[in-house]
Amino acid sequence: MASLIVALAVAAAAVYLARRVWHAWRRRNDGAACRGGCCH
Amino acid sequence: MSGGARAATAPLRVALVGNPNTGKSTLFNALTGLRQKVANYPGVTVERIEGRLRLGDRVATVVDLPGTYSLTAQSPDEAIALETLEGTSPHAPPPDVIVAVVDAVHLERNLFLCSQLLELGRPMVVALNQVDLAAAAGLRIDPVELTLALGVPVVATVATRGEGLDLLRHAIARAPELPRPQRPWSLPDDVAAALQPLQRALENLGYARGVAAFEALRLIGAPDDDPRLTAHPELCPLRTEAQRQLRAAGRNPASVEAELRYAWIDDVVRRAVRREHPGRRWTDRIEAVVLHRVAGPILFLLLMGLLFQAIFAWAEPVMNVVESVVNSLGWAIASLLPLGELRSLWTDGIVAGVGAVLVFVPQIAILFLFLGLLEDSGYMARAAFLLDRLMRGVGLPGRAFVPLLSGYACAVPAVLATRTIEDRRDRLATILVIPFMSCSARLPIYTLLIGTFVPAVSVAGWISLQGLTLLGMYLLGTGTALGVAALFKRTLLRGRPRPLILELPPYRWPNPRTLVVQVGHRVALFLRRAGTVILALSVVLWALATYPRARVPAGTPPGQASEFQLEQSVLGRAGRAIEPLVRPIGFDWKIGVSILSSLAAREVFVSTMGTIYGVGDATETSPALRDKLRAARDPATGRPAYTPLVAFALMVFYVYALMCVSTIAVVARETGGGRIGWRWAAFQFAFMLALAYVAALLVYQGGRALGWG
Repeated sequence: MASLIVALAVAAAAVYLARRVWHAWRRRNDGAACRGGCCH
Repeated sequence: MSGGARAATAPLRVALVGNPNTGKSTLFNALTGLRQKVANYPGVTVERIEGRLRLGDRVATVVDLPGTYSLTAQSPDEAIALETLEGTSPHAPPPDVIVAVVDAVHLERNLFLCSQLLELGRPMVVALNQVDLAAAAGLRIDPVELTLALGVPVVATVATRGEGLDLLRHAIARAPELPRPQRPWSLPDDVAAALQPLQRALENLGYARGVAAFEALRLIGAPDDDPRLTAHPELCPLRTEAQRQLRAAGRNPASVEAELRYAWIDDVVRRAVRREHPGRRWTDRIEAVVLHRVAGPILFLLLMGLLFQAIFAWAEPVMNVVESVVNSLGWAIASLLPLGELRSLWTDGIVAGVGAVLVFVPQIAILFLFLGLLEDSGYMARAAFLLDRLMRGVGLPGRAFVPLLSGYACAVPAVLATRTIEDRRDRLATILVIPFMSCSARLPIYTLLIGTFVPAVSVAGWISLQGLTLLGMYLLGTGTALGVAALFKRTLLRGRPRPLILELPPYRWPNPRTLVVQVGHRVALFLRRAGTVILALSVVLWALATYPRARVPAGTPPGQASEFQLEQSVLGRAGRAIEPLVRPIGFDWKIGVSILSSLAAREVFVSTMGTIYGVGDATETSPALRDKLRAARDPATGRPAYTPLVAFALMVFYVYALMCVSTIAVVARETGGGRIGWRWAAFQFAFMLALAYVAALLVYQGGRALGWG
């Protein structure tokens, strides 16, 4: 059970990061770099 | 319905034009009831902002044009304003009525734009705004005399209190019925003769007579790359001939427009303004010190020193509280979890990673509280004025100061703020050096390393060695930014510097609510990153540092067992692979991996170190990352893994390296986008990385040669 939760958490984090990278790449030309909360 | 009746009911197009800081946006809000951000920041109204206004039974659409000092079309903001007003914009029809918003306090400078607007020959009303402030400064302005001089209605207003708005609405509604304004002064004969061929050529291109006269005078002093000249190259020889004739008549073509307009303005001001001298006010006395040649820069350095001192001295107690809350919460939850992977993910991954970054919230809050105080009180504009000479010395325009200063917060909005810089080369040079300004994401790295390796001893009075070291890092970055800009401006991006036109806003007591909101906003952004990107990265890095499970040789002591496990993990192996690259600058594989992961955001360096030490440390006696770094030993030699020299090399590396994908992306877009933009961004990343590497190498190897390592 614990291992399953760990695996799910790691997978969710990896998917989240991959989505962030993908979105940043897609909107690299429309000036949204600051809107997604990437900047401080 | 007759044509006349339709014209009377069709919405009237009204354009608000004026210098920055005239209260134009406030007037726009007061007229239209729309909420809109009001700020002293250049280019805040660069987007097209429209509202609706009721004029009795008629409706008008009001456009708030970007604030501009003149119609010279040198910056993108000015170009938008000029195109709209002349009716040459492909995006917007020309306005039916121009409302020129004039700041009564700075009447002379504001009348420059006004004198240009009159020549466009469109129905116009002047809103003489901030008459209350002018009266307080001892200026009595007669609107009737001004109306006679300008030939268009002048209405005194106080937009912040809604005074004079009814009269202004009435004047706007009536303006189309009045005679069209025209140039209220005439050119001297020699200038008129020199400009005539150019003016006629412009009329042949379809410009109305008044606009052609205005454009001819403007083009004489415009740069060679003026949009009008590039669109109609046939005008260039006519312009060159006119410039030659003016020179022959003993005039300077670059300044002839300004000289003629200001001669008229002086005359108008003499007639319409009465000055009363209320005596030297208290702000004048402050100004004398703040802008003093010697005292000014000393005060500036003292204030900066106080800021960096405060980051350590004031933040320390709060930081300890945050640290203990995070840790006790972490332990409390950990005790509920079963021993094993899940507990390790929580304590070594999430608490060690996110917690390591969370403790820097007080520093971020103090930094932005201080910057907010300086900005709101009006001091920041004075600092810009003080530093303008320095900026011009390196060849950057005065307008580059605000973007560079914003770089202390974050390079992304700073790069966006360079849009107000007219010259393309100046703008590029500024963008290329902005990331040298230490942004708030570097603060956690600096304070972690300084707090760990620099003793908290006093150097002189209240100045501590830690605060001084932090100030040093900021000065190193700022100095390098100016030096590199000077280098670029003398080689790659050669061009002439332009003067700074800067409003010095009145001194004010900062508004506590605004400050709280600003600081809260910054802290919220920091926390959001901690809760999203940093949390996710901590989880992934924990997994990479934990798997695959290694078979630890029997009989290995617990401390060495977890170190062995870490080295056998995916992260450990990847780190070992890149270690030869970072060894010469004194870094081990853990720092190497943390640097790589910090490309996502610089503060991720701290969370990655937290996770690596969370996984690699089996003792779990001291949860603070600072203590773990001090205790870390090189497994090969048994000596401390990190020395003050390594910490310095690392800080210098972070002063210079462009470790931030958000900045890289925004630079690529702002330098032209597409292939050209990405080339600039790649060039910037490469040269900054090379500089960072060489600088860290010099610090580390130089320090070792001197026996400090």
